[in-house]
Amino acid sequence: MRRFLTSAIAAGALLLGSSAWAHHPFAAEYDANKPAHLEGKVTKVNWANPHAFMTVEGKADDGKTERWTVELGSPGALDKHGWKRNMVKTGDVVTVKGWYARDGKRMINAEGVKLNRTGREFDARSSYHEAAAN
Amino acid sequence: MRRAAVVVCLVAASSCSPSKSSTPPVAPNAMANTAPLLGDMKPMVSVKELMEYMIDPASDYVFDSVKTLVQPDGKVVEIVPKTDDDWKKLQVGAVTMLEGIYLLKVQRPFAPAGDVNNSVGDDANELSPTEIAAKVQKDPVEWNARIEALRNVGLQVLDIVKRKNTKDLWDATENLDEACEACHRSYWYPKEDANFYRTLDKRLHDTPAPKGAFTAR
Repeated sequence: MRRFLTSAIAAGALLLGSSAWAHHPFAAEYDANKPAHLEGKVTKVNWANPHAFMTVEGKADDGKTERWTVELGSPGALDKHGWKRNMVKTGDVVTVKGWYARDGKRMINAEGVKLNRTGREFDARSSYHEAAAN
Repeated sequence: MRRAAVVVCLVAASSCSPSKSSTPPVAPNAMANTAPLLGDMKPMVSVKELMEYMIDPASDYVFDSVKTLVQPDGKVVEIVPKTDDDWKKLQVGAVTMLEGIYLLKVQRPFAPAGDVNNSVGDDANELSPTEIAAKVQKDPVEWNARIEALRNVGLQVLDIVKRKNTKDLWDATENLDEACEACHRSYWYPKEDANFYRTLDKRLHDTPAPKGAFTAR
């Protein structure tokens, strides 16, 4: 069992729901050496540019409830990947693949999100990420 | 000669200008383009500080003006400017952004003294201020074109404010995202390229998912 870090910074990040800078290099906020897998219940979705965000909640190994902020691509990029604004509802269980924040904030930069209710996986990357990768 | 340079700038600017606009940008005041400056322009802060303390916060007024929230109780709320104060806030963002971005035409350091960005070490992915300066020096037309692209978004937002037309706001924020990101990818973090993302994707797919209902780290 691993105990999760809690900090004032993490709480602040949840309140803000986004990074201090609207735009930032991936590596400034996320750790390319820390792949993330997270499964939990969606409690909030925020569709806005430059990034959409989801709040995912669940019980950690120690029984405590945790909330994670999941950074997605821009709404335009998500539209292109087949996302619909009313697709993910609060209470839905999702599985997120991505990258942890490098400073211990409870944030994940999502590469993909599976909606467990349907089993369908959606690309969650920004269009820039995708354009560079292809 | 000067006229030719202006034409080149305009062509370059239009080539990377936002494409998702249902209305043409408002023409700027002609006098502003011809009148000489009343005095010297003296930069007080670096490009990095200008972005952090002026352009980025101004862009937040625009980004935050339109969103769709799925709230914890399941209610879906569409956020758009409704009151005069909402519209005024958006106008503050647009004006600050479109006038502020022209301050990047005043030559200034790219970062405060001693700040080399994340340009050294194993996970360095940003260009150093020296590298950025060299890139701009080599091709000032691109630098100006990027500035004009952002300015065009500011003009688009001002036009939306004038018409109080919320349906074009999503396009405007997407255009803003594209204008910002295109410039940043060119000057700030061009090393986050195809290879960088391919490596990321491979690493993620090669890592097995851990067991557990709510698993992290």
